[in-house]
Amino acid sequence: MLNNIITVSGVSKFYAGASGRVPALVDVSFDVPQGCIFGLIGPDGAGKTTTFRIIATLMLPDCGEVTVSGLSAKRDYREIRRFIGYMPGRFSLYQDLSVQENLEFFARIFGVKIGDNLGLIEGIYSQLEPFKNRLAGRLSGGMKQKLALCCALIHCPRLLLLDEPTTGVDPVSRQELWEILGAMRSKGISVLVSTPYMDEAMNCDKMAFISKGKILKTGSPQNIIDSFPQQVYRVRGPDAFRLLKFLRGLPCVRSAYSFGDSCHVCVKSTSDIGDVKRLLARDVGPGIKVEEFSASLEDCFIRLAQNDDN
Amino acid sequence: MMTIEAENLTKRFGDFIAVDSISFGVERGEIFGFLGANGAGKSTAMRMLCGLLTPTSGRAKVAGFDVYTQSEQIKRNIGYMSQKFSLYGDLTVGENIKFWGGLYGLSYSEIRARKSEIMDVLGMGSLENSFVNSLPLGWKQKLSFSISIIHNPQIVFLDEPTGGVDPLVRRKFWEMIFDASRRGITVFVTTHYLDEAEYCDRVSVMVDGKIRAMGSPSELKRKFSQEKMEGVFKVLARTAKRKSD
Amino acid sequence: MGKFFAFVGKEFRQISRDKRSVAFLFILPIVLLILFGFAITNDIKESSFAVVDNSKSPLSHSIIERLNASEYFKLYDVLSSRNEADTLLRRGIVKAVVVFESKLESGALRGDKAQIGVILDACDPNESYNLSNYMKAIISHECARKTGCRFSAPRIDVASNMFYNPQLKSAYDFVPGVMGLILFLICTLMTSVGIVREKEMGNMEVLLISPIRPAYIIIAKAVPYFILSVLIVALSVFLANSLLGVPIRGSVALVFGISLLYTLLALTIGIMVSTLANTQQTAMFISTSVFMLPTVLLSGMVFPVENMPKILQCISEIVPAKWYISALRDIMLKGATLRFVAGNIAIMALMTLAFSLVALARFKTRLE
Repeated sequence: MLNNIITVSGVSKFYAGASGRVPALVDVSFDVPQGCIFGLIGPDGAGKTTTFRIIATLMLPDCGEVTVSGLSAKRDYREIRRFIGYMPGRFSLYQDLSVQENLEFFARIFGVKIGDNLGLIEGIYSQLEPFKNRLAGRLSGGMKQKLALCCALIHCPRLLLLDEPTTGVDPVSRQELWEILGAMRSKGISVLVSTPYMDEAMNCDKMAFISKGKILKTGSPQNIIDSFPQQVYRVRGPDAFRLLKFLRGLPCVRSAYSFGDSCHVCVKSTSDIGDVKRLLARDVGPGIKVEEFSASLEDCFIRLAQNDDN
Repeated sequence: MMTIEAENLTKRFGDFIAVDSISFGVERGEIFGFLGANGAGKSTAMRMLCGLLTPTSGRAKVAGFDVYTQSEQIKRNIGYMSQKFSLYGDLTVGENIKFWGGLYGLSYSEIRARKSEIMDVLGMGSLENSFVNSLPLGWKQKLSFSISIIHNPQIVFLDEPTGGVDPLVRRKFWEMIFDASRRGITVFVTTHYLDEAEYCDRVSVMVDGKIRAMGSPSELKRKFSQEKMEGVFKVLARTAKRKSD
Repeated sequence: MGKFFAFVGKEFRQISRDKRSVAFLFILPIVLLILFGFAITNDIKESSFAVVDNSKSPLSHSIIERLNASEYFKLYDVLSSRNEADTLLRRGIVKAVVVFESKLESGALRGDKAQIGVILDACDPNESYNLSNYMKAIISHECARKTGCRFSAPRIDVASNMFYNPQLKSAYDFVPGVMGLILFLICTLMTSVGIVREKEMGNMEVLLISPIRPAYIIIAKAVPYFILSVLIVALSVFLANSLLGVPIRGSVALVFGISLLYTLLALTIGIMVSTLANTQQTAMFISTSVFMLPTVLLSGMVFPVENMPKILQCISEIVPAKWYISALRDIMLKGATLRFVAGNIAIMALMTLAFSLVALARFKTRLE
């Protein structure tokens, strides 16, 4: 048994743009271990879809090597296609066919019956069943994604490639989709999933931050959080925006960003936090809480993306 | 002063009640978060408020104008931006500003003034002549927002303005929203990022066409005994009967 | 094979769901056939005519009156010479000129031929055909009444003279052309757009990953249009024959055989176009501008190829529809046999082969 179901090494890809060749991926390398959920986390335009297409054997990289289950994505694409399930970022089912018709169609072209792998899709299928005669185009965002996932799973793939399955989906349906992915993992299916929502990355076993075509960091979410170089302080007060502006204005503050109802602050040296507290008490007033806080993945991404920019 | 007032606002499509008698008010300069699951009726409600859709019943005034009879005046006094609404990618930044400014009836000198202001605020002074298509997504969104308030509207409607944008840009974007609200522009925003709901002065959560909860984020969190708005949202959204639209 | 049929089934389902397009596909041939066959004939009502009366006899007067009184004709003027008549016709002021010979009544009594001449503007073959029939009927009837049945109608010979379109090209010639156009429209345009839609909507991404062979996808997309085309050939032939009275002098089997070959050719072109285009818009543009326009303009459907400049004649040689239309014309109107149209068949088969080779070479198993 191979350790890594996907290996991506040194992959670059360029597109022809108006002003010459535009890099979509620059020297991208990462490995996806067998049987885990691997998250490719980054904003729109970071290169997630290109990475997926290359792994799914739908595109060839300009340089670098990709293997899937030990097979070359370039040479052995036919074999690879047989055991992967792929759900593109765009809704790729037939909007003018009903839920049931879509399922039947994909089952037949994969040479299986819907019932064959019922154990795998039962959970999702039971949610879809009340709408089985509805045209796919008329489902809500969350339902569409569940249907697409169901179709991608219909032939019981060993590897599931999901490109932004939760984009445009409301938070409740998003959580449900992640629960489904957890269930897939427990059935031994490896999952590569991308998302622009940082908080979702916590559901992954391993993840890579991607931004502007480059991999910023790889590791388990906890590893990445632990490697955040500084103590983060959470500052809370009544007028969050004013607070933010004030903190940004302090010379000893390295960075300040709003997170929900509070600000996450990093100072230039650990001794500076005393100054910050003092100044807050003096200039902003009482009722400002400052506490040590563990960095979130968003803190990490912001820091990494900024370092990369500089 | 209320810039948006809705009373029992309802929209039916045949048998289907997309928006079911919602009532709320938004004050001038307030950032009002309009939350709800897919298909809860947010977009329909928003379209009625923008004067794009006539309500079936109920009453609503936007910027002091009636949604039934004065939709033209409403459109002149609001700004609108969504992730889908994009600028013309094959026009330059400057040309887009000129076009939208002109569309909202700004004079040539006003457009010029607003243009240099926008370029300054966004820090893209050198990019006036670049095509919008060549800009990174985050910049496009920020530019798009700036243009949506180019005519100093009373209210700006933002429909999922930050979808897919990276966390840093998302924050910068929200800082622009805060600035606009400081200047007295009322902000009406929908989002799927629930941490963003915390930035709002008040939020409402729609479920099955009705507003199920409304208040400041801290009020709602207390009321539903949740740590975060995400928890509030999930508690409410799980009560939905209407699963799909 | 199950996968293939699954795909064909899906295609049929999708096409049948798009009711407007299906209706369009069937209504189009009917409308085009009727348009070219019938409707182009303006209704014969108060068509103006002029008279050159060299006889100035009671009979000519009563004929003129009778014509003028009918709902079909309206007297424009009585002219003094044939030259004037030509000018009026050329300018399109009158549709017909009736010329009475000087010895009308005596000639008629003797049974001489061509005492009354009718000159028609035959720009529109159907209209002038109808005009001349009406005119002949009225004149004959009036002659018979006036002369108290002393001579039977045929002896008043009405010689009609067609201007501008002496061969009277008519509905007969349009039917093969319309069929050539419609089959092209369905097969090339619909197939290419249909395949490209799968690419554009992102379906192709998933299909390429699936174990269905790409070639099957393409063929399966073409099958429904092939079947639709067969139905439309049958419909067109039936309509042409029953409604427009176009004869099928050759064998019906040959008509269908050659239509099927042409359908295949058009399908391969559609598939080839789909490998060149990435958006439905491009596919539509290539199909219409590169293939459809030449079909309309250069295939001999509307304008006779023989009258074109040499260069256009050369280009018309590579227009697929030209070979189909000319073969179909020969089979339907002249009763040509297989041997006679073998050349056309060979050329069409070669074209099919060439286009499928290009399509095969261009087909990609990846997205780019």
